[in-house]
Amino acid sequence: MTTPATIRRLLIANRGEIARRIMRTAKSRGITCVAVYSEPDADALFVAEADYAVALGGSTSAESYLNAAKVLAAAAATGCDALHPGYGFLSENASFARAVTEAGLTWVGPTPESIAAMAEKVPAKRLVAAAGVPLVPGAELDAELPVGELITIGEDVGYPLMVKASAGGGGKGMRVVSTADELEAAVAAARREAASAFGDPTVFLERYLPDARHIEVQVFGDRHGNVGHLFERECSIQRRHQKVVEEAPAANLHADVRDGLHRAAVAAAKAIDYVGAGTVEFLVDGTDYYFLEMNTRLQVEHPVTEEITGLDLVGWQLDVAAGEPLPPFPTVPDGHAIEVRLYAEDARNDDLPSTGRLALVDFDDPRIRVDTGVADGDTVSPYYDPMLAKVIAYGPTRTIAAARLAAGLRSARIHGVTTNRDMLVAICESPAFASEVTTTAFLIEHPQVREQWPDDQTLRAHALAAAAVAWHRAGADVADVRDAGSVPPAWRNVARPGGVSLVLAGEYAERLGAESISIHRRGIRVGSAEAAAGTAPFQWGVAAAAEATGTQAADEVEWLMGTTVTVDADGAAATVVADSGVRRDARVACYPTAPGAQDGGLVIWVDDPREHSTWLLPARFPDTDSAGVGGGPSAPVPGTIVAVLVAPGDEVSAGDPVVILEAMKMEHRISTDSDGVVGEVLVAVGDSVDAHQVVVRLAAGED
Amino acid sequence: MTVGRPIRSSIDPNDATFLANEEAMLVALAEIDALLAQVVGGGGSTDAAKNARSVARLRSRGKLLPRERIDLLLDPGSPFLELSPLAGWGTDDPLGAGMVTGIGTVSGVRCMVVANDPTVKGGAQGPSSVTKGLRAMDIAAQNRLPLINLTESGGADLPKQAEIFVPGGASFRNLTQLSAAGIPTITLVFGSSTAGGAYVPGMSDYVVMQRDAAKVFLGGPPLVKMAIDEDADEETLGGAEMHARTSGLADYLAEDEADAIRIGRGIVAHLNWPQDRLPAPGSMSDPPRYDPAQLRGIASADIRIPFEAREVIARIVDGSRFEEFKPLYGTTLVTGWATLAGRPVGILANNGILFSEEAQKGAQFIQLCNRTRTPLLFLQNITGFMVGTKYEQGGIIKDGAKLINAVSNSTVPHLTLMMGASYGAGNYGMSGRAYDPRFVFTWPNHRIAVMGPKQLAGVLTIVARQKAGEAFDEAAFAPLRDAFESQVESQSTALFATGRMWDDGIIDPADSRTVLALALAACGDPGEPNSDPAGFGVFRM
Repeated sequence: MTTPATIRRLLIANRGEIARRIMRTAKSRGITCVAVYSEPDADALFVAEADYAVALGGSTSAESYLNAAKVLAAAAATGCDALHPGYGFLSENASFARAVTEAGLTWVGPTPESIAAMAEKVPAKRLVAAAGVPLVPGAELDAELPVGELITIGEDVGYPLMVKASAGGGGKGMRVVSTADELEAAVAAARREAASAFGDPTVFLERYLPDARHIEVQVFGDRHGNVGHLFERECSIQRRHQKVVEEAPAANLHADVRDGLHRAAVAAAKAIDYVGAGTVEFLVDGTDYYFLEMNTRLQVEHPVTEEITGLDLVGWQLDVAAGEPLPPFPTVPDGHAIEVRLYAEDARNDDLPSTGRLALVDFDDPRIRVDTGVADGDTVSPYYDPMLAKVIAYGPTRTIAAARLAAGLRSARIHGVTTNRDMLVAICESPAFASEVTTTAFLIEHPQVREQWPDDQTLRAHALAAAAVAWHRAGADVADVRDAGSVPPAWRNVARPGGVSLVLAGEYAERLGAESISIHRRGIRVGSAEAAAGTAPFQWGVAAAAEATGTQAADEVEWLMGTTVTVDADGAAATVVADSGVRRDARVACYPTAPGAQDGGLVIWVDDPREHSTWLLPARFPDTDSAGVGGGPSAPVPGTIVAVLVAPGDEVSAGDPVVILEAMKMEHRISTDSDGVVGEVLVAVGDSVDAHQVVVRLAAGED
Repeated sequence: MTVGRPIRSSIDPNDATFLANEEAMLVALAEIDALLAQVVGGGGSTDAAKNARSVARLRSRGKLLPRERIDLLLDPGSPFLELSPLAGWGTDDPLGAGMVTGIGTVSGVRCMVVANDPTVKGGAQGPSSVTKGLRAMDIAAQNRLPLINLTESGGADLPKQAEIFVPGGASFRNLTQLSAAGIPTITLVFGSSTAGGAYVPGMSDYVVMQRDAAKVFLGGPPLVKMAIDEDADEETLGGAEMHARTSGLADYLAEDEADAIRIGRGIVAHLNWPQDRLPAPGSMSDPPRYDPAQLRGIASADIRIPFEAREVIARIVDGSRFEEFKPLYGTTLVTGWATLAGRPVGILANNGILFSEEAQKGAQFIQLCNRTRTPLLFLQNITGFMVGTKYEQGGIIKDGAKLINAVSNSTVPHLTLMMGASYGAGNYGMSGRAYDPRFVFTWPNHRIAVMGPKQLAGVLTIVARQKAGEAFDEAAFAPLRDAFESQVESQSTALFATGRMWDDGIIDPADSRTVLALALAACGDPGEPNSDPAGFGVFRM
């Protein structure tokens, strides 16, 4: 037991939302906060908000946040007396914790011994089993294991099974294997990922329980021997073994199981004299439960526990680190809280990461709590986890919490990258989420939540709003329109039958039935038959699959009798009133696809309080210069090359992998889409590549 | 600063006269709309099936109709003020004259665009096409608008060569004179531009030709064979690639229509053309207080019935504000100042027949506007100058001459809107076509002639009676008089006038403010105040 120490200056050895979360509590206590940051994070919110910030240099985690020496040097340079590691990075690195303490700093976390005891998952299991906690069947793997033995071990564990990194967490280095013949490749890949992510290639096997629930218990201990729990959290809804939805307390859980989990968790923590915040994870299968692992840190999903206890867990961590005794643990949870992880990835498209500039992030909704590390103008880079924010809602009941969360997510405005928001909304609003026991197979059993789209009426209204604002903006560029209040943009005294039109493309346009749609506007004479429906001075129409140049197709246009569209003076909002009288007020933002380019395209984001959509207004003229660029297998996302599998002269057939790319901590295989001979390999291991960059060129085929 | 105070309207839109006028106007507009639809549809004939075939043929070659080309050429938000869309009405020429002309903004620069319609006789030029094209070039020259030709024309409409050969020559002269005056000329060639037509690109500052489409030569293969017994194909004689690589007639080679238009927009972007002089800071361009669409019910369907000019002004100018000059003097000519889309304008509007006082008032007002370089808007609804002993002896010719003198020698831009009658010397005094206003637009109810058909027939009868004396057979003359009256009537309609391009187009009265605002903006900078070098002060008359 160390001497109690007052924390005055805290180094936060982390980034993004958790760095800000820690800073919020620390600053509220008058503690000076020091941030450290990598090159891509130089302009990040957590750096700007810190009292001091120290550049670590480098882009990758290994060069920056995982570099213990640099982090310690930063603490020394700024005179810090304590260090909070957050989650991930160095948070569960026992030797780092020891080094921090040896440097004379207060380590905000469990003892190095506790970390070490739980860091190696295999010994951790033994230790917990000894305390009487049931385990999932599994097996350790030696690094030099012969293939034959590997197969035997696999059979013993039973399929499906999971390959996991011994030093891992957060889904990295994990592989599900359903048959014996996949085992060897999966172990190799998991080792590679584990080595890259954690610097340790050790992996182990564990029985995979696809229909189990993932329930974990928040435990806390202080230096005065108090160890207790702050109830459980359910994190069953996952994708690729990463948590997506987390809630507290777990719903539909038998009281005996709940009590058993709490008891087992506290027993596990006590077994290692646990100090600080920790989480004991279990798989729950019916009324059976198995110890999975213990995370010796604050969890990403700690806010749901805070919401149902009214506690500040970072505050508890700081108290414990300073040697204070913990107050009594609450005995009953208050209400219900749900958290979702908003990721920059496309839930409709294999969760493909989406990178780029976050043009706008606006969560202005009092119904939700948002823990985020990003702000307008930030770039979502391929270097770190693509989580944009944790969105949390509390309610006296689970139903209210879910409804608040869905409403808050719906009202947010997030422009620039594709997110999984629609899927999160769909989950919260799904009958399955409301009424069933959720399991880790939720997203597999309910794939429809990935296909959440606005209805056609809404899409149409959004398309009109997008077009009207695009015209408004175009008009502002023309003196006659800008300066003369009465000349509408694109006004014609002699109209084509289809009126003036512009083309909108993108996924939302496709929902309306074609690769692209055209929005038409024609003048209507007051007093004429068409105007009887009250649409003067303009009538709006929609047509499918128009060419960018817009052809004369009045009879192909579906004219929307009675629909009016008005744009506000600064072109940032539009009101669409359908002939049914239903009025939709939408905010509309336009971003050029190629800033500064004459006749470039626009990406138009439309948000109403419930729905959002994105439209591409293509550049007016085809880019003739880009035609004729040679093709070949190319990177789907920006990332780093981790393996090159072919060499010039190799024969390949369609579907063969040629290069393995790591992006967002995930491996992507890049395969050829045609048969041929490798002509040129354009990348090497370690190279950074951009999205769409060609990695291998096939030799010209013989005609 | 705002100019003037709001006019208070006393129009009752439920009044029977108003409703009858509006109904008649909508009927007239429906007729015009049908004609415009015919023009826009392409083909140029009255046979819809044949027109459809012409358009389908164009489409099958991946080509765009002229208005589609223009839409792609213009900035996406740009208005397009199409001029003389019904040129050729009532003549042997195709309606619209196989050509589209108008003003719009390209790469931020207000330009005159002239586009052939290849679906109409292959873009061949008849007499109306020549007149329409020359008028577009006049407008470009007077208003200093860069000229963009979207060329695809088979050349002269050969059966009518006698009517066009001599006047048509001015097209090429005008092109180079525009260039000499510093007004850029740009030609995008999408198809044939042969024989004389080859001089359209030939005389232009910038030439873009579309690969595998442009054909520019003095003589095609048959003519070359006849003249010098040479076998040559079209591509070798005048293909885009040949002109881009060998002859140097093409400055830019375009891959397709869109590429040609993209290049054209790029050329305008580099012209370094002076930015439009914006309305003065703080000027208001708020819409009128009264709905411009009410002009349909205000304009008399029967032009013999006068209507209040101030009600028209109240539906055209910013905020319906008007500062009236000499409101108590010469009351049948309303004069005063206003702003239109933020730009200052002096207005002369007929409120009845012109007397000596009105002529003098107008002449004085025009002089004042020239001093302040204020463009003038003539709202014409005039049956003429007053006649009769009293007025002749009172010197109405001298006073009318003052007004015509002032109109003729005024150097500020003039816009003329024909909103009813335009008879006799009233047409001249109110800046009719012959007085070179920058733009003339008409309402569908407009009538134009030396005098009203009834009066003209009546005068003819009196003259005939005087000539024949006792032998005059009233009954026998009546059918002649009626035939003459209906001939004059048919030759004085707005459609007859617009078909001959006595105006720049018939407009919906509801669009008056928009059209005049665009036209006034196109007039450009009227110059610095008091820069007129006249050696006299403003004459008080």
